[in-house]
Amino acid sequence: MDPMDETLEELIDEVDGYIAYFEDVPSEWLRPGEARLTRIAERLRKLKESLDK
Amino acid sequence: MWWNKDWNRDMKDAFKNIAKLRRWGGLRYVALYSMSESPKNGAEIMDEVERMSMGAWRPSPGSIYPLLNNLQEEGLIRKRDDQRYELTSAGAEEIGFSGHRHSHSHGAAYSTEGALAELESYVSYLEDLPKDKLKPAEARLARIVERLQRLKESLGK
Repeated sequence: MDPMDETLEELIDEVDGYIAYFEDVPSEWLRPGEARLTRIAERLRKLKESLDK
Repeated sequence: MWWNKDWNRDMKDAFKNIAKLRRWGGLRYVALYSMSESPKNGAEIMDEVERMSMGAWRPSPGSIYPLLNNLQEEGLIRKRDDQRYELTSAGAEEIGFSGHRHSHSHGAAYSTEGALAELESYVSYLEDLPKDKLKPAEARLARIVERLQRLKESLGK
């Protein structure tokens, strides 16, 4: 696999960080944003799938 | 001319590294100090930094969580069963404390709506990247998708 360039790695670190943050906060903080979170998850899933092709 | 393209690139790298060091050095100290008051998770450290700076500075999750990983690898903090981090004796020494102080802090709840909006902007950027550029990140992206799925499932409970 090609090594990730620094910019992409930093970008993925940022995304990782947000997920870790959401895992840390109490569920009740996140629940109002559940629909938005679902849309984000779906977009990332599609993005990942597009790389498989 | 006495400068050339290489020199320009070296200077650019140097300034980039200085900016990175300042960012990490400052946040590193503040995060350790925050954990000296009481064990905290990443979200609570973000709240604390914002409170300590009177709202002037709120580090992003992308800054905090990699920093916590580094501090743990360096043996300055350890993760507890409740997923919060606490200082080790080495961590306490690092910031000049021989022991932990105890106090209560009450950071304001971070707007998860704001964090979701920020994350959306990152997703949009990733979607805009050419696929061949994104391909090296495929495995990490897959893990992120799995974690998001688990997170969604946990909210459904």
